[in-house]
Amino acid sequence: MRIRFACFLVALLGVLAVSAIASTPADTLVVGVVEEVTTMDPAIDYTFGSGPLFRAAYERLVTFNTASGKIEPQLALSWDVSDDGKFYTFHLRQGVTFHDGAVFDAAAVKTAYDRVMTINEGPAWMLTSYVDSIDVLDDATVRFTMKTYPFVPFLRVLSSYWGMCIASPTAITQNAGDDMGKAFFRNHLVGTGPYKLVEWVEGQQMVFERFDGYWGGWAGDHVKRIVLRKILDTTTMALLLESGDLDIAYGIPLDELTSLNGKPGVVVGVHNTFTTNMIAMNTTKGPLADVRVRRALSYSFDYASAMEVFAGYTTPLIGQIPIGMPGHDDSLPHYVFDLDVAKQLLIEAGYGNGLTLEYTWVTEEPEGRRVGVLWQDTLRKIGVDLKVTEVTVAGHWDRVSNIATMPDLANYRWGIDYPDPSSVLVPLYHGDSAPPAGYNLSRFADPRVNAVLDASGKEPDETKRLQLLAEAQSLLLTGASNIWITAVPVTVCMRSNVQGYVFEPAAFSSFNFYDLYKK
Amino acid sequence: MKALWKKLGRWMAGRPLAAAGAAALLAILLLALFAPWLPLQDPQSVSMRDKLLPPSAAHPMGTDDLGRDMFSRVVHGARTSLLVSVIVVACASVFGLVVGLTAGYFGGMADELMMRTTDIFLAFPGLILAMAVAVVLGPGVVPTIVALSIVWWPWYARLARSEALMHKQADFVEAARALGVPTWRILRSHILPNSLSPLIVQATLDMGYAILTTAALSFIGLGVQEPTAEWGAMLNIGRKYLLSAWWFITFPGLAIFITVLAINLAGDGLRDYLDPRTRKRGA
Amino acid sequence: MARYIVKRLALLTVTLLGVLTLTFFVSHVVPGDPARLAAGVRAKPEQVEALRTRLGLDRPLWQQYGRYIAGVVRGDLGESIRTRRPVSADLAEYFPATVELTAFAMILCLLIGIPSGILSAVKRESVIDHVSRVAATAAVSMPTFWLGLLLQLLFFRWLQILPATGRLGFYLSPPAHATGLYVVDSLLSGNWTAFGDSFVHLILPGTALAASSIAVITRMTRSSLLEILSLDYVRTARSKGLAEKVVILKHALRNALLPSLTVIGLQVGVLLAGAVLIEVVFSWPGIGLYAVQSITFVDFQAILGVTLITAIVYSGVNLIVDVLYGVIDPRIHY
Repeated sequence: MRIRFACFLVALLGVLAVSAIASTPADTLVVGVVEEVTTMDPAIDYTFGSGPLFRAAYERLVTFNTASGKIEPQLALSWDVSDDGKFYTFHLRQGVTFHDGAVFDAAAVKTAYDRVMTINEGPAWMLTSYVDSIDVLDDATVRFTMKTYPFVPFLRVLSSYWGMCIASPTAITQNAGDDMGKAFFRNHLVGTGPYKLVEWVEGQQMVFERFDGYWGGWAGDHVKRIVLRKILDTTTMALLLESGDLDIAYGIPLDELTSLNGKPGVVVGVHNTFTTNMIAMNTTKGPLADVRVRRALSYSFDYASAMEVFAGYTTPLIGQIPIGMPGHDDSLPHYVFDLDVAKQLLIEAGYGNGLTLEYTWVTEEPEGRRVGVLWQDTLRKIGVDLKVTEVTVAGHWDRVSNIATMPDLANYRWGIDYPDPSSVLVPLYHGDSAPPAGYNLSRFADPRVNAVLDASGKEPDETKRLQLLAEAQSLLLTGASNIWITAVPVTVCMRSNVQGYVFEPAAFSSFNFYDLYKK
Repeated sequence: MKALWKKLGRWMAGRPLAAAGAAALLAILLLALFAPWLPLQDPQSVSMRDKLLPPSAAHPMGTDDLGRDMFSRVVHGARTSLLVSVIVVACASVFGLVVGLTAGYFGGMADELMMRTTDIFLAFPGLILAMAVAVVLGPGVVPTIVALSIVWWPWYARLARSEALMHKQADFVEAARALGVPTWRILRSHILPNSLSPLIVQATLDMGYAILTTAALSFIGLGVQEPTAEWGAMLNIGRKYLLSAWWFITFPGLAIFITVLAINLAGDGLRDYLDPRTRKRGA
Repeated sequence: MARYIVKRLALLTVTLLGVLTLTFFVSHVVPGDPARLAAGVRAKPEQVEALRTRLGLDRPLWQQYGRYIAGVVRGDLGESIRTRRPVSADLAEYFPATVELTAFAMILCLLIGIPSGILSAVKRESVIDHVSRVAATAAVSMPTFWLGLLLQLLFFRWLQILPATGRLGFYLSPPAHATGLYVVDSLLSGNWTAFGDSFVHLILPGTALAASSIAVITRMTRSSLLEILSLDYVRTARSKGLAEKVVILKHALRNALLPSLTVIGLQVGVLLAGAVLIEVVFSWPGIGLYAVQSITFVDFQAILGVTLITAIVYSGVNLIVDVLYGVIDPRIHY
């Protein structure tokens, strides 16, 4: 009995020793991610979780360069836009093959995008709203005919990785089945990208290997394998990065960075995304229908303390367009924290004796809790009783989409669909964008804002367009439809031997895998 | 009455653990009751600059992620936890009592209906049902109470039913029935008083379990909401800071542990005292 | 006996139908539009409506209910709107993890609970007995999830000797699928690294989950053994001069374990319920974690699937315990 127990102990210790080995192979990049992937179908997926896989395996016609703010070629080498904006003609890159050996040509573009539009789920609206038809002019030339034109941001729409990834026409036709290939594409990635998927253990990990036939070639420094590990628990993720089990850790909460700061071999990265965090004020009913009350609340918000919710890594949002996106304007006026002004405005509006307001925040967006409780504590001082309610994503959408159940104040995030200011301003502030059509939760409806936004979509001249956008932003600030908090930062921490990383706020959950290598 | 206390006291003296449990419970109750008047910091006062401070003289249990004093929140949390669990046990046992006594006394279809209904409730883990109900009702103190009561009443209904079955054959009930006493009066003045005491014992013993379940529901994020201090909810937030702020999960958990331990120790003593034969139920 | 089992099975079917009905209607009043969520919150209204029709969510509730029950009878549990897979496929993937965790915890319960119960009974009123009593009370007073967090803090954060989350470490791919229990599958395929690693990953969540049940089983074993030890035949055996060890192990223990069987059976249910919280704390990909994720996503079909499977296991275990009890104890007739 005793001997057997001793044997057991020895075995146990051996096991512990085995599990303590750490450090990733030199040609393999191990990335820890937090987001869930439930389908890999580029026609359906509309989540942040797909960012890294789409970027590894798929490509789009064009991409957006954050640094220059310009559209750059990817699978399309060049393009012409007709003067009236009705036709977009793309001249395609030649000699590109898909992972399954299919040849990339104009017909492939048409097959892929027709599939997205026919399935018409998730991201498909970005094509169906604007594109009337896609025509193959010759093998190397494809033409998009627009439904509504001119629509200036269209090339930026095409740079989105939602819905715009081009899948293999062979895979599409061979696996069509009776569900247009949804079952197949749910767990297969068949693109032209530099890495192909070799394994997916659902909820746990994905393994990619370099695609030998990649058109970009494999000269220079690249990794051979990429392992994406889904890690539910971010504290574990931080420790794994520290011990060298991970090369990149994506999505460690800001407050947990303290445990990584200054650790040898670890580079902590915090980046501002194009996702904004704000509080919608219900302008249709109750005290908040009065702009004075909305302005009072705008002055009652402690912007500096709220930045501490983001561990001090970010700054208050000026205007509505996040830093780094065309149209962002630092010179716009903005509200500052001033309780005296707030109190004065409340008295003017007839609420000197106080009022009660409901504030909701979404479970999956945890900053909302802290922002709410912080604000609640501040508002007590000017007689405003803020009821802080937690809602799930489902509950949030249910409440905000119905005017009868819309809370007075709703904290929410908005991530852009494509890197253009219209992807912020139109769905959030255009009068026609009240839910369920759009995301104008405050139901702010100012005809002047609508007119300026409509005009900006048709204005081909960039300078004039920026002026229109600045005008829209000033009108919104005066109307105080929201409390604009900040652009949400995201953390990308890596081992110091990982080289070549460039953060892209428009596709923040993804990585430029092809450029990454280890020293 | 005085004699009873004296007797109880003497009996307790021979059981140091039960006595210690009772004393601790009394202390916790007093703390909870008088929390607003104690020299504590405002449990709702936010100070972002002081977030996640380790325990110190100014903050004996450190601060949370909003810079609120943990010590004050742990003490105020006792109010929430105790209140919620007392109400849950009370609601569930009263409802269960009414249903169980009726079913047990009348028998037949009513009994069959109740037994099959409770079968359904007892056929899967209560926490999952409580979670579903809590999502339907939305977060907050009252929904938490309702959700847990819905899950709990079948236990008391079954207990009350077996009591009713036992007492309805008793001589004095037979006699009353023979004399033509109305049914509701038999139920009220004969069955009820006799069934009450085992139910009360059980309910008291369940208090600790109720605190644990309340905390569990809040821990999943479906229970009590900000800014109300509640132990389970504090653990839910604190879990995110496991590596950087050990105090955040340690103290609220310790509070639950000590409170439930005190209730269990005192409860065990009470049970032995009142009825040495009662068995604790399995779940 | 056979008639008794048939009767119980029939009753169980009725109960399960009731469980499904209750959960169906409770989960359908949950606020939140599943079609909207499935389509994505940014989908256009017409996309949402198209999906609603496809999922049958536009039909009246009683029709949806009828279709669902008919599906269950055929073995079709519907499709999850969150994972976009048949619920049965999800359950097949998540359930083995829960089984593995619960079984491991059960083994711990038996390996620790019964011996310490015997020890407490044999050394009655000794220091060991008192310590075991206090430890047992402490264990049942502790929130399972808090114990889990403390273990993580101690063994993962401070001592850094045990992993805190997941079923397998890095680089290890799950062993070839046979049972879905990693420990068993890795043994079957002779994959020693995976075996060791999956075993190590079980230690903390298993211990946290088992703690309160160990306490209950210890106390139960102790009291039933004491009861038996005071009976005549044990006294006879002793007076015959049999060694104390033989008396306890051969004669008393067997009879003492009988009543423990019910308690142990009940503990399976307790462990299953506790697994929900432990899976959340340890990011253990079992049906508890699946249930929590499904509930916040208003994923009806998934919630129903989880409820059904837990109800089957829960009631099944109770049935087996009752039947076994009859088999082992000849005095019980059905």
